[in-house]
Amino acid sequence: MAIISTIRQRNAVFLLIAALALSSCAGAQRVDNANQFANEGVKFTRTLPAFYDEYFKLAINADSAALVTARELSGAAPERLQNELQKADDDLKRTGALVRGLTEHASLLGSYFAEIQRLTGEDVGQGVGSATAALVGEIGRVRSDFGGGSPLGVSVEKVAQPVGNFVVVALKNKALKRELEDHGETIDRELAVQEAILNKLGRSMVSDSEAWTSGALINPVYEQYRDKSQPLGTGWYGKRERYLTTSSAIGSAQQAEQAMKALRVAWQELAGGGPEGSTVTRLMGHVDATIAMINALKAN
Amino acid sequence: MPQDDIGNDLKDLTLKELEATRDDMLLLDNKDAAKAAGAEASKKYSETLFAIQDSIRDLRNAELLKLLQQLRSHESELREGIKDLAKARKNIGHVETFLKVTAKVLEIVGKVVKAVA
Repeated sequence: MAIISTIRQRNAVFLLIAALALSSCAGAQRVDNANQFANEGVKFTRTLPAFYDEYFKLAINADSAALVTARELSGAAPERLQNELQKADDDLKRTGALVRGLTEHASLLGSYFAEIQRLTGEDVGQGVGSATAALVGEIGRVRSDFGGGSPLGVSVEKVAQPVGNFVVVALKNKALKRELEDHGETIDRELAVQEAILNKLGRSMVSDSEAWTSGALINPVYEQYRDKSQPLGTGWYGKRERYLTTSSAIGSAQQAEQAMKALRVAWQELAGGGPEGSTVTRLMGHVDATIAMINALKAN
Repeated sequence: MPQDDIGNDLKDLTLKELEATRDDMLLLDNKDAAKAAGAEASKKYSETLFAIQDSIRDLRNAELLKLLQQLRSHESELREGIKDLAKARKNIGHVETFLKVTAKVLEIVGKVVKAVA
């Protein structure tokens, strides 16, 4: 009878360990995916200021190309031309202030993702499993010193470590759940607005690049080449080389919007108990492609 | 054509349409055609381009301002979230500390019990 009871107890311990390990694995996978999601969120938000800078530079260049072309065809007096330039400068200074606002906000959003990254990281609570095992070990030793025995007949220390790890995973998941309940909808709206901004900026960047290339590079090269009364300066060669070698990175300007869209999908999945591993992989691809696009734009 | 008339003609155009029109106007063939059409046509072309570029800047700034204001309306919740997440992380750290301290206390208790026995 005593043997059967011991076997039952051992089986119960085994089943408990197995159940804990399984639920811990599923929970741990979610925490791990959330951590990867947050890593991408941090990486992407750190990239945004460079994207905004490229937008602003292109906007200025396209504006200059349009103003120079309009000036060339204009019959307006110098005062009028000065007023046009002054107004354009004032408007672009306002754009600069807005871009700085976007950059500051991106830093705050980055800090938010960084906090999720820290919470879901391995460093947090990594010693809880061993601390639980040590505590249970000490309890067993103290019981034994008082003349007691292990109630299950097997070392409870074996269960302690997975229990500790399980508790950490459960605490992290609980914290994530609470955060999603408290601020999930706001962050979803935030990412939707970010997506709309990147859509507008990306679209304008494509147009600005076209305006700048035509107005400031191609047109002068052709006009100077046709005019045989003036020698071609060194600038002519440089402009020609520039429009012929400029990378097509600008064509991928909408990539930033795609990355933000993928970030939002991952966030929504996180709220639903995910995110899925495949969603995180897709997100990583979009973020890397955005970083590559921005690096190519900066190199131009 | 006076500037105000051009402005009125443009006011119903979307940003996308304005950008597309500007990009077309900067193409060499179109610019050449305006020049070839005479001083008046050239002047009108110039006024239109000034007005379009002006509208592009205004519309972009207005749209960005609106969107930035929406982002800023989320900032207090973002800060609150950062604070809550940091608190949850610290609490997990406290669990670890509590377990370690309790184990240490029990270790000492065990030693005391042995010494007394």
